Amino acid sequence: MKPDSFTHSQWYAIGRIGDFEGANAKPVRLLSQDLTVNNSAGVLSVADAEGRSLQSQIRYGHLWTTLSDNPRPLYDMPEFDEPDRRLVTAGGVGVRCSGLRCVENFLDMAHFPFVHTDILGVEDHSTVENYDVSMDADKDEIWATKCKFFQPLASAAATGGQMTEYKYRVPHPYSTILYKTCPIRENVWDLVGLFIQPVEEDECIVHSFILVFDEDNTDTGLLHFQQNIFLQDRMILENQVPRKLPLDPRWELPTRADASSIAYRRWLKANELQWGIALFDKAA
Amino acid sequence: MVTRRVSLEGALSTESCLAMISHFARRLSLTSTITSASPRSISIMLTGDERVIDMFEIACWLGPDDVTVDTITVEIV
Repeated sequence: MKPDSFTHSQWYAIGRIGDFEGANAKPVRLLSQDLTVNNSAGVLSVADAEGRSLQSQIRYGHLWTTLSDNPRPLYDMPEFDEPDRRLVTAGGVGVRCSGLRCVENFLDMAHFPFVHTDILGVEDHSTVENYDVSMDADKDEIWATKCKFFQPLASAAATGGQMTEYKYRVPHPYSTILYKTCPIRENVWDLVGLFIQPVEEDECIVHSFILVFDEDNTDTGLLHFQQNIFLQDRMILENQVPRKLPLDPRWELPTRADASSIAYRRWLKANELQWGIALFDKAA
Repeated sequence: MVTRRVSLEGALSTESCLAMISHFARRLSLTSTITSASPRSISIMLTGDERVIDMFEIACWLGPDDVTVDTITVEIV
């Protein structure tokens, strides 16, 4: 299937800037197409299989490209310009499922006590309190706010359990950002996010980042914390059936804890996104 | 056990919506009676556990492929 216009018109992260050092040309795959990233004296450019030059830009520590000649603007994250924040990027991790599944899993708080046991949740505190979900019509993005969850080890900087407050943002079908209570500063948010590179309809590469205030942990410590969490998620993601994301509600039975997931699926549906979606009568 | 009137409004393909309602009511062991149905609005009387009726409401928000649900209201009967 060719990507629908909503999917086709987006910018996609295809790797960290450093991933393309030391090679004149590196193959990448995006939306079932083979692309090449060329490195000419440190200047990166992207071309498709016919040699046609594609638009590219460097943002948020990653190289982004688009298959569209007239792409939608890449969403803004002003926190990247704030001083004292530390950016740690985790590198691409291949996952055998639709990237849309990865976004949805990221939005799901109910799995914390059972998948990230004694880190992001404990089984004795498994209730997901009601939270608010809204659509920012001007920016065409989803926000889930007033999310609260007890976490024994909310981040690498945490020293004990805390009731963590979350905000989730979905500004792009294949990107999602978590704004999380900073354990060492008041009234600021740490950011954790996923930039997902959809390789095929049911396969993706997840580029994750953390953008935090943390004066104690090394980059390696922050990276290990994030990678540990994501590898726990990957085991779950790769066992979901179907591998594409179902939009028909008869596949699954959501609860109120899934309100952000429902909003995400409604948003994909409203934008007529079809690439990476499981059809009710055809999915395996 | 409680009884609630659940009303869906939006661009409702009546046949698809009724199939979805029947599917969820059966799966959630709710007793359901359709009290009105049109391409813009469907009302159902549901009897069952209050938390399960809440699940029914959430499930209906997504709707089948050819349906766009704009509002859902749940009234105590």
